[in-house]
Amino acid sequence: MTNEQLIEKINSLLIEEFEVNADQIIPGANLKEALELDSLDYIDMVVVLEHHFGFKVKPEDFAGIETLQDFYDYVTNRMNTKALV
Amino acid sequence: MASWEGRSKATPLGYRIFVGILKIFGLQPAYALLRVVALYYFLFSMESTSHLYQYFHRRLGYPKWKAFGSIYRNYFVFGQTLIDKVAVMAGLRVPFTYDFEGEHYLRQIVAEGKGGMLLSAHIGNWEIAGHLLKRLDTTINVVMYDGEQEQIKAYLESVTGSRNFNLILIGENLSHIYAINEALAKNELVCMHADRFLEGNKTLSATLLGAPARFPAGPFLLASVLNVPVSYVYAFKETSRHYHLYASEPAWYNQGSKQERKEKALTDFVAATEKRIHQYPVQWFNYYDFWKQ
Repeated sequence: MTNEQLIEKINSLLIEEFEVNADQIIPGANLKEALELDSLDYIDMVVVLEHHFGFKVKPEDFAGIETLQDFYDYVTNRMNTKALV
Repeated sequence: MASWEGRSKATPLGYRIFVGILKIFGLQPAYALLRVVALYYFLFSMESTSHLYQYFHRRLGYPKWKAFGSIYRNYFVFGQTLIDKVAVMAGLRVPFTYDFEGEHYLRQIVAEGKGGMLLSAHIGNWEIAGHLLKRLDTTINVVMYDGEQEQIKAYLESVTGSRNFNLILIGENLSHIYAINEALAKNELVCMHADRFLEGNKTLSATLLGAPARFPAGPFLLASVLNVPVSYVYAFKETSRHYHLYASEPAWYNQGSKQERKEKALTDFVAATEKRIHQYPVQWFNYYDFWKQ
């Protein structure tokens, strides 16, 4: 899967699983605010990522993720690393 | 504000006095002093008294005088449950007896080996239930927002010793994600209260006792995404030395859309809670405007 395809998949998951409006999906948007995530929603995020992308997520992984673009980068990096392994 | 403010009204001095009486004189003298304290709260804690009045009069349909009598009894029983909690956790020799209806359901959850969620509410005495859950031979994890004042927590821990359960605090560092997942992976039980929320939490709406109320979305979200059995657990004081615990048949919320699964879990929780409220109306311990929209 190319990075563009991954981003497309992430966006469709945000819309379907987290009920985010398509027009809120802007790379520079703050992830927590755009998705209106509260503390327990992150567990949902972990479940969704593990289920759809097949890699394990650690809580500290979220530490460096502020914007949606950071989130895209995180997922694409993890997927590309997984492909190399 | 309809949400719980995240702090109890208890003071460390109040706990010290009661624990002292409890240790030196035993349970009944502590209960006797409590009658005075309950009267004080009844007369002077106007805000919580007015919320309780709404609960008894409007939601349960009690006539005025019955509502006022129930408010006093509510403060008294609430105080008793706090004293009982300290007595049990401090290992004082108090011969409490218990009925545990549905214990086999919890044993069934443990036997299935996938972990499980226990949801409860601020009715009855959850801490006593937690104490009894020790006999399930698995680790109990209580997930909570850190609502009690630090000095009270420190004092209670000095009296009661180490906890019988793991505490998973929900915080900004997100360590609770790992803690909850790890607990379930080890076939442990994860317990949460599903009736109170703090400002900023997402909420879901449902009708409780004939009027719409808001509930924290988190517990029902977890029930819908973690794919583990969920049981609704409550413990009520029936006499001064007897408790009755209830655990519902495990439910799985893995059919339909995520929204449908969350709503089903909420509907089941509200039905289970409402049933117990009608059985034990005085043991409602939410002292804020629960139904404010």
